[in-house]
Amino acid sequence: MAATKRLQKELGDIRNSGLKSFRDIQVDDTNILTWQGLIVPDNPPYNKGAFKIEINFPAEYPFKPPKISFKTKIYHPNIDEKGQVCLPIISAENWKPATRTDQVIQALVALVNEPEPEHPLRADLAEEYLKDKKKFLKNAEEFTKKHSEKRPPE
Amino acid sequence: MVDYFQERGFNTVEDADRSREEELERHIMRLMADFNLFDEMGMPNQLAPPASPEIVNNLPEEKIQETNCGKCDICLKEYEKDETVKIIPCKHKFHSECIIAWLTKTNSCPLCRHELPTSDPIYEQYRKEKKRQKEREIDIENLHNSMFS
Repeated sequence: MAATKRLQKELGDIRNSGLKSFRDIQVDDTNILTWQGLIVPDNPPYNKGAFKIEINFPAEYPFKPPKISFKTKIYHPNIDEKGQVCLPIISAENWKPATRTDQVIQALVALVNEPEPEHPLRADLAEEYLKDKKKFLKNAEEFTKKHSEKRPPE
Repeated sequence: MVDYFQERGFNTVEDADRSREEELERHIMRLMADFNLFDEMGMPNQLAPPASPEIVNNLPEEKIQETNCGKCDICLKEYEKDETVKIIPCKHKFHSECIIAWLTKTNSCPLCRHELPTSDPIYEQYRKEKKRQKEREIDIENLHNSMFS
């Protein structure tokens, strides 16, 4: 299967490159189409924790884009309560097969670090972010401390 | 032999019909674009249709002469000797089976999004109109600049 071969290569490359912001990558030997890993953001208020995500690749990969969901709760304008995230580079109309998973992960990390309140999934948080940033940062930091995963050692 | 009508630059009835049809088509497309009907049909948010099979079949091919001359950006594997690659009009190359699998889904280059012709008449009209709109914007911009600079 084309998907398996490409994913084995990508997984190897990502593991070798030692991304700081995406760690603890876990892939079941019997199913390379599902990856789990920890997003480790650099920017406050999310730099107090880490966030588990799951990447699901379709059998038609790379001709169809992967899907990403957050398994850890996060207080973020672009990620909803179900863990769904809207990432333009993996939307059906923007996807191209030359996009690699490391680029997708980098786009995701960038979005976590710098929320985009102009295209929110959670309008309430986007409004708070724009109107009362101090309050947003305080709430998000408390939420992160309460719900996020432990950051892996450097 | 040049006949009387040709000499005077008259069109045949079919020619005149055709140019009238084209003009009508242009007006309809302009109308659709101006009333955002393409947007309402969801055209901009849809995956574009497949490249036309005829174009795909006639893409120039190349045989890889030696290994280590790059990799295919679809399967991410290095090219190996004697593999066949296809070259699309933007000059990007991919393994034949990789690029065919993609172009039977949608019409753009996996790297740079250069669009190949499709066999979907509505999509082709939409694309033509998009191009015309862009030209119109440039014309207006130029006109504006020529008056105010």
